[in-house]
Amino acid sequence: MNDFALEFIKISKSFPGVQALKEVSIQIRQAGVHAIVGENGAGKSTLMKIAVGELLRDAGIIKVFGQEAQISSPSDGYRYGISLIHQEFSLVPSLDVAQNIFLGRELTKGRIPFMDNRYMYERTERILESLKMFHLDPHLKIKDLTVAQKQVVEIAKALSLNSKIIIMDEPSAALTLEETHRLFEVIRELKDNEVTVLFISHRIEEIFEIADQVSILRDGELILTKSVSQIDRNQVISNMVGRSLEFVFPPKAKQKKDGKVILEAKNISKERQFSDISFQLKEGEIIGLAGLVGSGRSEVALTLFGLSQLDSGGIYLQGEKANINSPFEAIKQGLALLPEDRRELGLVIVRSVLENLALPALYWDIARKYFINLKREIYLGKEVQKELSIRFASFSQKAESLSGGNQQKVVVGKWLITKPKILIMDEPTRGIDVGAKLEIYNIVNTLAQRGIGIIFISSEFSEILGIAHRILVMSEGRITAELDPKNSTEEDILKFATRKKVS
Amino acid sequence: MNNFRFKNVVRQYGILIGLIGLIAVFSILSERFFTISNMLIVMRQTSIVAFLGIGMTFVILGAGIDLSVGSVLAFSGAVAAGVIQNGGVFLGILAGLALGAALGAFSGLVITKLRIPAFIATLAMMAIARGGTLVYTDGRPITGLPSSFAFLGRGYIGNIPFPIILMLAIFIFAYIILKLTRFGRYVYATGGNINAARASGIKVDNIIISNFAISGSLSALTGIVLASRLNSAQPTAGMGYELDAIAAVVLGGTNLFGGEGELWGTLVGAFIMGILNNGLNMLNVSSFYQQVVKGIVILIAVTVAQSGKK
Repeated sequence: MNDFALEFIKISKSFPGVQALKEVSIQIRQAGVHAIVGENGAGKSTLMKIAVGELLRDAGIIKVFGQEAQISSPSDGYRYGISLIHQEFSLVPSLDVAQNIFLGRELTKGRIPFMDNRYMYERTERILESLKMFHLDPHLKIKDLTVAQKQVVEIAKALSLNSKIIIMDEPSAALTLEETHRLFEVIRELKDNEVTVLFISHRIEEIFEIADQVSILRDGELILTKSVSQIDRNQVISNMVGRSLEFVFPPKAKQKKDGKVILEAKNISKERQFSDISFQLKEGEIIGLAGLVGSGRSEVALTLFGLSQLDSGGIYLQGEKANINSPFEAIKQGLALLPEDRRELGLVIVRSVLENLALPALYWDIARKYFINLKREIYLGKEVQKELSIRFASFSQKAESLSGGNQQKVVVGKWLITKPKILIMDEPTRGIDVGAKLEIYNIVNTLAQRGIGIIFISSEFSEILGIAHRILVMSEGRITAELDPKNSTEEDILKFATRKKVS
Repeated sequence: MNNFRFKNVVRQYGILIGLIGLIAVFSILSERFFTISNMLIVMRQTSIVAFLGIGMTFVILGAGIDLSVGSVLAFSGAVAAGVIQNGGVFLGILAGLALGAALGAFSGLVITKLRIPAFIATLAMMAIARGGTLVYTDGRPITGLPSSFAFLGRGYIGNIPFPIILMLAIFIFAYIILKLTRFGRYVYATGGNINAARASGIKVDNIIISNFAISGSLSALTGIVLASRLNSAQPTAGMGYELDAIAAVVLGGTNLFGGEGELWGTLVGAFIMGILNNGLNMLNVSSFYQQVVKGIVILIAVTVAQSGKK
């Protein structure tokens, strides 16, 4: 008996101009959890898509449970019991959990074309129970679920198809710490049910928490496959980036002793989002705003930037009360926001890199008198490209064709052109690879050195500790602690970030 | 690699190749087709769709749609004609344009402030403006327009009909606005991602309202030129023109979801519509079949354009 659920044997794939995979061979053990890691563009997603037939391989063999498999279209993937869960879910928001799980293969009562709803809801409930997700009601609409719950629905859907191999593309990318732990519990349940799990991840800590085996890809080649017990964190990182890289945070920006207060929030509140938030930001200071998703930290950011309105309290800029009721007004006052969802709020992905870079500054600088100063536009574009070392082939390239890290740098760049005094960064390193993260940290430090006040929001507490001068922790819409990173730990932050309101 | 490059060419210039192909086919089938005089006739016909199409391009680039152009055309043309009879040509034209702009801006206000989808808001405007036309004209054509008004639709500069000159002038003007001004950039950004545009400090509501006002003004201009050409304002003018205008924009490769597209594509699209009308007439194809052929050509063109995108 062969104990491999899935075997890739010398898989190659090329796209116009790039060799995405070069003779990659990986063996996946049955009922194990196998992590695939690598920087952006390493070929992880390509390999996974080939496994389920969404992409056609150029060469190589795929074996499923020891047998050579003919996988050339997505329906083949299902036939062999392999499901791929994408980062962007393929669920219909207006339908409920059970309807989504049985979408396209609804069961009928015998030959009558009426749906057998009772059976479908019962079966859904049973699948959810097998995942120990007792509180997820099959009648809930997808649009009312959290990201984590939607993921469970996708997993349940795969199980209802009798998938024996489930592949997840960065399942934790959009989850909070807590949700990630719950996802891992589900993955353990899957393992107990003899399901093989393959997952792609950016977060190295997760590999050690959940995986049995890890494979590292770099530039389309397999670097190694090892048992997790035989490798450590630094080895994973150095193999991913291809150079030895001690993951240390760059030295923090030096803070001026007597920096002026440039932003002050006094008891700001917004119903059901946050209440009674007060803090001061000095020039050149980096405040780390820590909290789990839903703690109200992003809402504070959106409100400071005029995308949402205050119910009470006041925002003071350079000591004067400011009335920020739109992003236009915020930019005028020297604020900039690097949003959490850069594809939704940060970039116009169908437009070019240069257009994106120039967008906020058109009014104030590049096109003050209606007409665009094309020379100035390209000059400023080149300047930030150099400063942030943004990598792209041409300024006219669409923003969507850039990697996550470079997209993020474009968003930073578009704000730098406006010469902001205050920069709010909401989860600036989410979904970007280790190398790009380091670059972002360096940029943050440089900007602070230049006197820009920075509010750095993150749910990765290690990076908050590594970057901030001062830490504010939020939970349930309130600031629960102010910590000094010099003598705090991740556990300290977590303690205050999960503190419930005492009423 | 070569295949890849070929697809790129198809994507960018496919519609232009289609236009040349269409001209070639009609030239072979009818010797009267590819003559200077007939081409000028085609271009004069095209100008009507082009005016509407240019306005529609602004709206669609901004991720909207304007179904009211045909009705606004009729209403503005009728009001212009009415005012011309009493207040003179200049005042009449001004009144027509102002009405078109106001109706467009009103649609834009409904869309942005009441958050009604553009499809619904302009569908309502389509009915309102058509009804307004019937009320204003009492269902009868407005005739007896002064000869000084005739130049707009029937005049020539040298050998070239004035509507063609006007079309080129408006095309160049609109092209400059879209490509070289801040407003043009804002139109693309708003249509490409309205939330990111707002978060970049753009007053997106104003952009959307402006787009619809532009579409309304150009609809009014079309109505005025048509009234001049026919020497009367017809209450039924412009029926179904919204479809020709949208078809021209889509044929031109503009993304119906906004943010992507080029104005020259719309001009080429309008030409294809004009050439189809003219060429099929020359071949004595019955007007019933002409509709069928037009529909099929749109399907083929869009299919080819899409295959180039993949």
